[in-house]
Amino acid sequence: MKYTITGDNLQFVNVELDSGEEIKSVAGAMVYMSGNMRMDTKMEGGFLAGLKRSISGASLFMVNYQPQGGSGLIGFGGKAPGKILDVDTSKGSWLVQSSSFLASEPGVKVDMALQKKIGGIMFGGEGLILQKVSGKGMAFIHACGDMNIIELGPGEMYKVSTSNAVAWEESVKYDISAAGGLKTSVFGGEGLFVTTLTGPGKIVIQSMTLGDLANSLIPYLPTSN
Amino acid sequence: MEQQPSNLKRTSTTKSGILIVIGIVLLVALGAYILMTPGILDSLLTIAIVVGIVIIASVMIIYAAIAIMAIPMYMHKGEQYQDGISYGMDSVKTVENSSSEDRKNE
Repeated sequence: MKYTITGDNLQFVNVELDSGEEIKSVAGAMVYMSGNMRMDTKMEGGFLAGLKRSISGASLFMVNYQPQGGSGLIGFGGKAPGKILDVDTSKGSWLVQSSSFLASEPGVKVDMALQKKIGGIMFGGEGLILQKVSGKGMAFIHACGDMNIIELGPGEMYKVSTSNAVAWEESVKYDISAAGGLKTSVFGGEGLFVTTLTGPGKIVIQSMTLGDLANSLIPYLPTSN
Repeated sequence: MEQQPSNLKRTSTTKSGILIVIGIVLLVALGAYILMTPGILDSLLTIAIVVGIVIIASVMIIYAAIAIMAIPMYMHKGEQYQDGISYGMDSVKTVENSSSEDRKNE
């Protein structure tokens, strides 16, 4: 499989598959494909696995794409302005915010993951349910805004605005901390908490969440007056 | 002259189409049956109202729990920060356009 990620803030992942290769995606992620590609919809892993996947923001059914008698091309895109990131699950599992998984090689498993700490669940901004991508192969994840990827050494910690952590390797510890004292909490704009991500491992942070984008557009929405 | 794609094959979707039509007919028939049977409609409405109330109540309980727990959690967690450790821009990389060739070269 060969791929390129192109575009600026409304990106494509363009995938070239040789004969016999295949790729899978969540339902509705395909934007284009060459005439020799066929798609087949499967409830991968059975109903329970599909239901868990669906709750995590992916789809009940996964769509498999395979070229017929030669190499073929397929392109996937996200549903909001943002970036697409390629992660190699062969080097380790990733936890990603719900609905971020876009597509992957067949060897990659997409599953629902639950946050373990009550503080992280209630105040971390990512909620109870995450997606876990593991297995073997490349996976493509999508999130709103631009993204920074940071490699943390053991014991290195980043504080991230709640909801802005897109993905992190499973070795990274996810928790929350108080944003600051009374003045900072009330007037600092971050609320009571920030998310803390402690290494070792890679973390991916987004510049803007879909919620931020929606909130910034509300004042400009046309009204009946 | 009209151009035709080369090496074109066609797989029949007649069966799938018939199944979709049967599904639509069954859904319409079910809808009509429910509308023509007031007892079922009343029961469904009652179930929908109960489910709606349960969902709204659950969401309100969850938000209330979050509100109640926020201050004790804030007090419990405290402000965590590291002292005597340096960070630099070198570790922060933007996610740029990439390809499978880039990954091979890493």
